[in-house]
Amino acid sequence: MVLYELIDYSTLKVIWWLLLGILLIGFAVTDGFDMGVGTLLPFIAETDIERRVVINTIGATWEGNQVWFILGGGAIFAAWPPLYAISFSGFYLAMFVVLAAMILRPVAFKYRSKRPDPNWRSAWDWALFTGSFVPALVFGVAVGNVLLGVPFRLDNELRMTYDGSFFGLFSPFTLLCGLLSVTMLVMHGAVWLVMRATGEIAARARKAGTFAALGGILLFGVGGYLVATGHVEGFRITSEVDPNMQANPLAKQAVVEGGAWMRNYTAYPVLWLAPIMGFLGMLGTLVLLQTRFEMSIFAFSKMAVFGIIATVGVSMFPFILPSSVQPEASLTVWDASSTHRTLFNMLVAVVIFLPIILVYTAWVYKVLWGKIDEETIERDNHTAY
Amino acid sequence: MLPTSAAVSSLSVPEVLLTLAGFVALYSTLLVIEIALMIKYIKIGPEDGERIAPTSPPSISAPSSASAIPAE
Repeated sequence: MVLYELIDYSTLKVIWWLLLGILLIGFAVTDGFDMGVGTLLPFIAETDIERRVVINTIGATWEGNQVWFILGGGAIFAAWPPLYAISFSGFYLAMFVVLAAMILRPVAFKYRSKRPDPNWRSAWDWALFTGSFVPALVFGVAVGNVLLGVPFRLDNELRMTYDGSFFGLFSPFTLLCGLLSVTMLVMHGAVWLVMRATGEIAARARKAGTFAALGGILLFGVGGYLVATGHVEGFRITSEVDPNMQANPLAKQAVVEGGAWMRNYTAYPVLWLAPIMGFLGMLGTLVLLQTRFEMSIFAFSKMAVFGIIATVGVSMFPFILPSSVQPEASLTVWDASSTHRTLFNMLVAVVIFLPIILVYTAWVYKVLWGKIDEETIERDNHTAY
Repeated sequence: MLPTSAAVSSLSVPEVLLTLAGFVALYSTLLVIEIALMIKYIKIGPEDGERIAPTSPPSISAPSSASAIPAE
């Protein structure tokens, strides 16, 4: 008996699907409010000191949050190598746009306060906006494309060819998903500013968050309607699949079918919790933003992010990357995972290190918690961004 | 066995050239900005006397603190 056989291969595949989902949600919940704040920055703060307040609400923790993104790339490489290979090659130019925009973020934070010139500072404010808005939009567009299926083919040796183009990624439905991603993160960032800023900025953040929550409810509703009514088709496996099989995406048959993304909800009605949490989170945020509450709004905002991303995951399960031109080549949890031993060894690493990371992250937030206002910035003029 | 022919990605040469040029342009721009900032701060030099004598306690009287700074 080998140690890794302690956990069944198919169980490990599902555990890794859950872990990558949690990773994605963790990234969206933490770096998400940074991106929301960055997107709001040029609109929500007028004077230089106001902008510095907004920047410094995320200044101390955004870097740690962004590491979840790097971890996401690494975890996909380790757990779902075919997904890594196909998505990084297929979405190559989109990936470049995201990376180029994200490279602007650290330099915008660091360089902005190095010169007093208003033009200089304004330029870096827009760099920060670009580095926040563009990734938020492209991530949403990418999720939209995954729901629609991506035009890749696999030959008999599992070599991938990609039929799509960069501009082919943008269609009405994928743009809707992109806008949903932006509104969701702007809402989340606005709620963050309500908690961490004061006075005028917090008041403007309440307004911005209200509009974003309304927009999010509308877009999530329209997206859900398009999927539920079959206007946006889903994918379904039509052959027998052995969940314990070795990775080979071509070993199954699959079809494109209207309403296929709803089948999991019929089979397991408990999954309705995901979209319900999405709606309830946005609705709760919308209502509580009109009250004097601060911390409890963030709980709803986090729930919205969780619910929306989980909805995509459970609608598609077991698919992780469907192919629109060769449905049987679609990647699923069963046929695109790493080997039994790899999944087990990585799980051991996760069980040891994830709690440590969560504890020190929580500690960092606890130490750095507190309202940031214009006095804070003037007092810490040299150390603040 | 994984031969190179099976491992290579299906990207086209123009795509790879475009992103390589993009990264070179982006990082070169940031390098110029970085060097300009460094030159600016080198020219300004240390900000005040406290930086030269960081160990002196804040309660120290003004004349003795000033004596740590070379006369101009």
